[in-house]
Amino acid sequence: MTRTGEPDCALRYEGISKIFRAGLRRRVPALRGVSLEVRAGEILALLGHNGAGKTTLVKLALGLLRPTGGTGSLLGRPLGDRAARRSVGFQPEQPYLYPFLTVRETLRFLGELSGFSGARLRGRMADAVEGCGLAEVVDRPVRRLSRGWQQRVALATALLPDPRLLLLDEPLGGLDPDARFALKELIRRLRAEGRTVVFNSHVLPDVEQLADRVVLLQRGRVIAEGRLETLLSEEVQGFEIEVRGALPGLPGAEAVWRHADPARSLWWLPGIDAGELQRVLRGLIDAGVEVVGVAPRRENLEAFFARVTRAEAGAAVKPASGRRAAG
Amino acid sequence: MNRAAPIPLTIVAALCIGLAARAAGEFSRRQAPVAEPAELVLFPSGRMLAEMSLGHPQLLADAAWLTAIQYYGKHRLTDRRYPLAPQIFEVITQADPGFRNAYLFGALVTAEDGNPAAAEALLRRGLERNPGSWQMHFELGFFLYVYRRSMPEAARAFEQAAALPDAPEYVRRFAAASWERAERPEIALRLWEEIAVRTDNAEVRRIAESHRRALGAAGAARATPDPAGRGR
Amino acid sequence: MTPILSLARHTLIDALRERLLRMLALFLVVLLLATRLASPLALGEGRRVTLDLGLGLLSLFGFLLVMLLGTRMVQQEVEGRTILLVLARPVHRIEFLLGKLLGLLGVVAIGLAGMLGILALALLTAGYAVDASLALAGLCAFLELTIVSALAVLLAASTSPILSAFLLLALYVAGHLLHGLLEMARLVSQPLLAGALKGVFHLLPRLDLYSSALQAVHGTPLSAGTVLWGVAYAALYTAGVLGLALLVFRAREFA
Repeated sequence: MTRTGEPDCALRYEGISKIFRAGLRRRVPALRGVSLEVRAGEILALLGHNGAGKTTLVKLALGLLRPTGGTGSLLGRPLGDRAARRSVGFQPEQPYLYPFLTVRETLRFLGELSGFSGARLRGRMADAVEGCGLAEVVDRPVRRLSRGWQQRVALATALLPDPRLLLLDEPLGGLDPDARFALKELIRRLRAEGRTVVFNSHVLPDVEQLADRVVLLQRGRVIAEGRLETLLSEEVQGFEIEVRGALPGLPGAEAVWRHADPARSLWWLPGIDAGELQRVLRGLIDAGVEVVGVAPRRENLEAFFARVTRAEAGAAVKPASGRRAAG
Repeated sequence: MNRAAPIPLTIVAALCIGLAARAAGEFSRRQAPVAEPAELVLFPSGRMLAEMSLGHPQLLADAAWLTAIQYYGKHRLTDRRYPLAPQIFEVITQADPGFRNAYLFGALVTAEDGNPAAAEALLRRGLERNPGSWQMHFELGFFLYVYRRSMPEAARAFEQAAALPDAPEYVRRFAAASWERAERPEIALRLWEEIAVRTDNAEVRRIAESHRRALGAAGAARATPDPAGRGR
Repeated sequence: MTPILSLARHTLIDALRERLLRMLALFLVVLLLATRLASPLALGEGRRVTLDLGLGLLSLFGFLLVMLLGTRMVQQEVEGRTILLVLARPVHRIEFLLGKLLGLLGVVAIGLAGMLGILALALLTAGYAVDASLALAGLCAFLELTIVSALAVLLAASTSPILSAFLLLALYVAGHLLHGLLEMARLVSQPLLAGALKGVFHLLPRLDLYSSALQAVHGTPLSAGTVLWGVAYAALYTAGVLGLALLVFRAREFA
């Protein structure tokens, strides 16, 4: 329990399995014995290919699906519990909204369904509009909004009930860079307020920036779980070199980005060691190229994802070699 | 998801519907009694049914047939009177003139109601609309034989049925027997001879030969000159 | 506002937006005008003809409204996936169904009120009297459609819109032809079969009772007690059907 008496665990699954029926005889297992805990106040990212079971886990929490086996809890109450749902905000994978309602009408309707009325409802609506930057579109019908705006409206509906737990399915999809930045800031602010956020995303760099912990699902099983620094390999994969001045090419290197004016570029040299790096740098200097910066690149989440999902199905991932000692 | 047990919910639903049934009884009882509408008073004409059917007169005729069966069944179990039968079956057969069983059953019901003239009229209309059907001729013959006791007419109807394709063997035997009853042994003899020649069935041949011999003997007894020339 | 009333208001507004309703309204106006044309041919029974045709159309259109809107209510939300938004909130499934039913009844009430108004106008402009029996007829039609709406909700929660519409039509027809069932129960000799027929008779909606009550506009008015029993039947039957709807709907999953 936390100091305020809330459960330490916002969401828990114990041996959860879910089998869908496809036709009279065919059974499709979506989840197979998944056990995991989402601690209060953390940001947890669910990763996995399409069909891995991420959305199924979320819907089980909300009572939209019933588990075939196993148990769990939502904010200390049974999965799908109505009272617990009062404090949960949910954003589905697509912005499913009522096309003919305006943004304001949408928020009012869903706010009423969350049990708010009067001044409290108006306050929650105002907070959601401000938090998602919807002031300029609040009286427009949803069907006239672009996908990005609709995504923001969907997020606003998730924020309406002042939730202790947020379940966000692909929250960053369809957003422009400014909106993505603002949403990431919002998610960090929510964590600072002690709220718990569980989100799915295929944009792995965003996950690296936001998540405290990740859970990797494959074919309905958890195949990796933990903090990023314990999961990602410490091994240096190569080096990035930033240079100023025109450089048409660099043997063995891949241009990450180039600017024309002023001329700058970033190069990625995979699989070289420190000695080889020295030789490359000397070569650049001798050619009159100004080297602005050099940085080692370790395994990122994308590389980890590819490595792990190619491993044998069902095998638990051993911690990466060369990890830092815990502390 | 709310875990309200299904059993209490089912009980509550069943209770509500049970109480509703009681309320319906009271509601019904308190309303002014409405005069029972005359039975089948709004049965449309067969031609109207055919027009309304939008190309499916047989379907509406089938629906009318089902109503006719209900009508027959209800009165069969009660007063055994079927005054509306001629009208109902006329409607069905107008909507679908090829509905042979409607003529046959309708005639039986109408005759059972003590209205053989209407029954015969229905059958004759069936014959007009289905001249190639051996069953229609046969049933008319049967009707004439049983209800009108008109042997010559019955015999002619059986003979007409026997002459049609697909008519079974026994129809000719009915014709022969009817001619005998009609006291026209010469025609009956001819028919029995035909039956004896055509049949593959030994027993039927034996019966036919037996009738032929009896008719031959009866003819000889009436001193008809030279009967031997016939059928040899 | 409670979730039930919010859902009801939302359902009502959504339904009123449907162009179909406007078409139905227009069609009804046209037909009622036709009634006006027919009444001079009725040899002095113009009021009766106008009233009977009007009430008949009112019942028919009311049923069409329920069938077209009610059988699609749940599937529309499922297909649009907005049901995820609603049921993820602290909304009980019975609240969802009740909200849908109340919204549908709101549409029915507005439709019936409009049609009754047009009928009254048609009577008045033809020089015929309009009295409280017309409002009573409207109430009977509304009670009948309450039962039909509950059945529409049950079917909408259970199966596809097309099958729902077909089954609702079958129940509507059966509900008006129940006298045949009771008669059959009286005639059969086997007690078990007779009992089963009587059971089916009581299970099916007694819509014929409201049609009979509608005819009171021509004769003896219904007493308050009779009307109350009519309300009681509609309320109890609706509650029973909603209970069955909840049994089905609570088991549904939304992947």
